[in-house]
Amino acid sequence: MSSSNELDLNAFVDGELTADQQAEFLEAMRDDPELARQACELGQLKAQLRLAYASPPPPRLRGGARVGASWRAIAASGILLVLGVVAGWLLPDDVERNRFVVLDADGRGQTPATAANDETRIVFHLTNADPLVAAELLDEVEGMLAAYQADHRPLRVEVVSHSDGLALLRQSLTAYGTRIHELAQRFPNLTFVACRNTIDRLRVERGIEVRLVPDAEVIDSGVNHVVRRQKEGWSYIRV
Amino acid sequence: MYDRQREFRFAWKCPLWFCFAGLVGLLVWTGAAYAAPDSARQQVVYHISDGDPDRQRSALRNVANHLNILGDDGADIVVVLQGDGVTLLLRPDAQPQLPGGLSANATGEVRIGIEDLRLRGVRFEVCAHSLARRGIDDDRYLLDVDPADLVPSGIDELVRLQRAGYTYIKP
Amino acid sequence: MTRYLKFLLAGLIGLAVWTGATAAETGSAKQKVVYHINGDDPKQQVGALRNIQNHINAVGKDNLDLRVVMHGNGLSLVLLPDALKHTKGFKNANADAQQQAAIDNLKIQGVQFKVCANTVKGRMVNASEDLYDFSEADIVPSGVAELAILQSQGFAYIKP
Repeated sequence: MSSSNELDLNAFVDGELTADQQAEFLEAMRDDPELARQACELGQLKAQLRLAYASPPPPRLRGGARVGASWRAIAASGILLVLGVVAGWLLPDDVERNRFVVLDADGRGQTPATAANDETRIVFHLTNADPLVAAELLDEVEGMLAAYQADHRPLRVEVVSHSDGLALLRQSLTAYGTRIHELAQRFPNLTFVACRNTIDRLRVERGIEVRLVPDAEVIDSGVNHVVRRQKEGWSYIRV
Repeated sequence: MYDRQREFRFAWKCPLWFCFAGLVGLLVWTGAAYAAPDSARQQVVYHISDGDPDRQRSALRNVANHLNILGDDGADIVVVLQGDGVTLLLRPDAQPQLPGGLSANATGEVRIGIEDLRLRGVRFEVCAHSLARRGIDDDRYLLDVDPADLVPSGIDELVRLQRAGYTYIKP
Repeated sequence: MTRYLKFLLAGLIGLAVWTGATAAETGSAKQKVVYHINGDDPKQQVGALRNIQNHINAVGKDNLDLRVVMHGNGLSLVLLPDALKHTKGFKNANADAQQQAAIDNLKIQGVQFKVCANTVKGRMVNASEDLYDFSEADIVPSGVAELAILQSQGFAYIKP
């Protein structure tokens, strides 16, 4: 394509040709399908650029009849409107679902990652101190992690313990410190989370300095964490 | 006038218009997808993991009340029995198999309640894993459970249903 | 003509971007949460109310739309002790002075307490006299149906 044609092409797409020039250009396009295709592609590209820079430069004032521009402008505005609305609708949702949070400032816990769409994410909410309940939970969790690993299916599991459930993660009370450590070593996609509110309350109300098993992460508010996970698309299981 | 007509013809040949039509279609489709959950039947999964007969009875009552509000055709309700919750569907002759502290609860009022809910379209799924853990390895101890409703893992099933759009309630 | 269309175009883009942004904002700014209470253990109820307060402290009351849905034994959370005599099926009525203060405190921060009409009817509760600080707007036809409806409206579910 000659450079003069290229100039014409740009002017045509911008709707800056006079009526006569336009007619001439349209004639050229009819004979040259490649030119027609480029005109359309350039039109789309410009439309996308205008979306990226939300306010386009002010239109240059020029004389002359520009009858034909309305069709392109309507098409472009329609596309942009639709793109804007669709993007506004879809983007936040996706961003929300695919975000992972590192649980503490030292970078422990699960690394931030973009979740694959088929990744299964489960947050177990433990508020019960019964060791039998905890034992069954650990067996379930281990069984699931092993099965998903064997099938190469992505999975993330968090066990959030608060109130009486904190017993599972307390050094002095837990019956499963070693088991928790083994599980945490074996499965990087498993995290045990303790609620700081519960820890603080035990100190204030009962003078207990809680010592956690080394594999436990601490989060400010257990319930808030569970809510956030649900908003991020995790499945919720109350133990 | 002549110019305008020519340009009109050209406009229909331009792929831009196809893109536009496609995007409008996409928008309509997206809108429909967003609107759909409101008009569709409510999908709810109840998770029962408690072996206490009183709590189980009240859970059945919750499900019945829920159906009363929505109408039998207005809801798709699945009850997943997991952990000690599996005792809800155990016939009395399972009692000798069970560890201490657990009772086989599919008897009397509870049994009637279960059968009534089944007639109204409620599905009861039982975790095979939890049954085995409690010494139950034969489905003759269960109250008419379809083999398809004996799921390998209750937790996995709860996750699967939630991912399929079911709302989770733990009564 | 083209000039006006360009202005219109710019306006439409602006509108689309703004709409998208507002939708995203209202979608995530206010956290919607429903707490489910159906047990009558006073210790657990105190714990649940404390959970809610901690939750508000963590997120801020202006960023939360928080509902408590009570049904079955859970109504004991707002059941006045005197009501135990004539209601049916309750073992506990936990709305003593201390719990009333905790409820008041949460209500001031915007928490809504909903009670199940089925329970009210089935357990012979005279809602306006037996339940602490009750108003007609607090009643929902079915507690569990309300939990499902709220979740379908984007509320996260917590069983404390």
